[in-house]
Amino acid sequence: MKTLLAAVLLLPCLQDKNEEGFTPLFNGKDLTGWKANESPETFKVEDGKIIANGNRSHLFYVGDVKNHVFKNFELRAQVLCKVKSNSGIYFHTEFQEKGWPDKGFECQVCSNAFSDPRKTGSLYAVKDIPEAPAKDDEWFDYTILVKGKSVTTMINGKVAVEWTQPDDYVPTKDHKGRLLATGTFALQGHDPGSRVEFKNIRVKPLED
Amino acid sequence: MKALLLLLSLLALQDKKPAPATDPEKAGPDYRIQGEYANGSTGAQVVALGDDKFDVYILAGGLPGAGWDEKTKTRASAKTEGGKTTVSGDWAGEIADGVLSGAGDVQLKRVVRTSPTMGAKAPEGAVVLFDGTSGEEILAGGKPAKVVDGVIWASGTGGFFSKRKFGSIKLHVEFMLSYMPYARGQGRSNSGVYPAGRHECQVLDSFGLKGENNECGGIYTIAKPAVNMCLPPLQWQTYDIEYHLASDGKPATMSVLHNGVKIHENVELKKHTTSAPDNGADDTPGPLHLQDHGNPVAYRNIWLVELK
Repeated sequence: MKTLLAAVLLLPCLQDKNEEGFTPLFNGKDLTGWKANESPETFKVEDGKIIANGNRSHLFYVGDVKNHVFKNFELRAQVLCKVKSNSGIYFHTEFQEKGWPDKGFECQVCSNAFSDPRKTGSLYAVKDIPEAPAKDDEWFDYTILVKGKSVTTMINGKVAVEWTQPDDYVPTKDHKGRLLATGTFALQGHDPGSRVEFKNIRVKPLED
Repeated sequence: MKALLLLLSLLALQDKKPAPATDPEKAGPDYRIQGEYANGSTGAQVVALGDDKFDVYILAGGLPGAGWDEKTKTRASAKTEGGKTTVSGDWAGEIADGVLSGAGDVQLKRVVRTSPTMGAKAPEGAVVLFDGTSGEEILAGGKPAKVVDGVIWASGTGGFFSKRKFGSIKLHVEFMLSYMPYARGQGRSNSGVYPAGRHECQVLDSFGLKGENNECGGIYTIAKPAVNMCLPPLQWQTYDIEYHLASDGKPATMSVLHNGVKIHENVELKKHTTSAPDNGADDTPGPLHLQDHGNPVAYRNIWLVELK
């Protein structure tokens, strides 16, 4: 009994070492602290997961952590991408009423079976990878690390993309707001044919 | 004998296919399912294939030219059985009473889009080739085009030719495809608009398809449209074309708005369409030609402005 008690007490400590300084953005129960735009019915909470499936819509973090303004940070989430699905995690973005978010960057979630050649782990249309390092229908760990001018995406602990914004960087005409700045996070509901699930979304703000 | 039987049964099969429909009232129940569906953030195109079957394309962001991300197309199939149209495949749902609904709490209403340039009036100084009354300026077999209820039909005419020849022009033309649900590819309501009789801007029922250089809006075998703006058959559509003759060693060029959306900008035309009726030099005037490809396709409100 004592051993069990010790184990129960120890377990969180062991986990915490790697998870030190992380704060959850999603409470696992409802969308408190989050706000969906044009088509809110696209996002549902089930069994501790946020499910994105429906009309195009984006779910913005508008909660209390850092008053939803982040510059340097490490974001972690677990993601499950159904076959032929597309989604993404935006950072440095801000709430907008409709359309694809203008501000910030998208860290792509995209099944290998989906028509878009920019796959999971891509920093969308900035640095893309042609093959998803994650399997469809299986949970994987998504890490986004932003520090100064550099962005790193990791899938299951392995680096997918590393990108440093050059000093003379000019975003493309289509995505004028794709510049490192500050902002919040958003989850993408891409289209009715896509179903992507998120859980355990947590962030560790880093020194600015 | 066997071969004869086979031939007879093939003919019988062919006979089953109805003639192209030219009147929405007589186009049947599939026609009322076929069409465009949308809400503010998703679009869908439902294409009739005959025998109560349909292809369904779900488009991320909205309809082509109206929000679609121009990449994401989820393909599904639909079938009507016992009065119920069910969608299955990569997306599941149903179509009932003008609403396409299904997975992801998606509800899309059937919409009929009208081109922003529909009914555009000929500006002062324009040459009116056909205003719905007289066929005097647009000839078929050397005679004025036959006008039926304010429109002219290309099939059975050998094609239309403007009475006069023109050089560089700005052209407005409206067309309506007939409904041929059993036909596929180049056999589905085919016609074409040829400025100077040399370079074809394709007219075809390629509603819902990819938008290739031989489909509607394609400059035939030269350039595919930036986006497939083809609307369903039996709906009027517009082309607004700017065509420049070759000059100073530069090739002829064409820019096209299809249903008000820019699909080509100054595309260089370095060869004539194979079936071009005029193979004159590219820096000389030629007649406007509307192709008869054997299928009923209607035209109306045709005018042009001559450019210097």
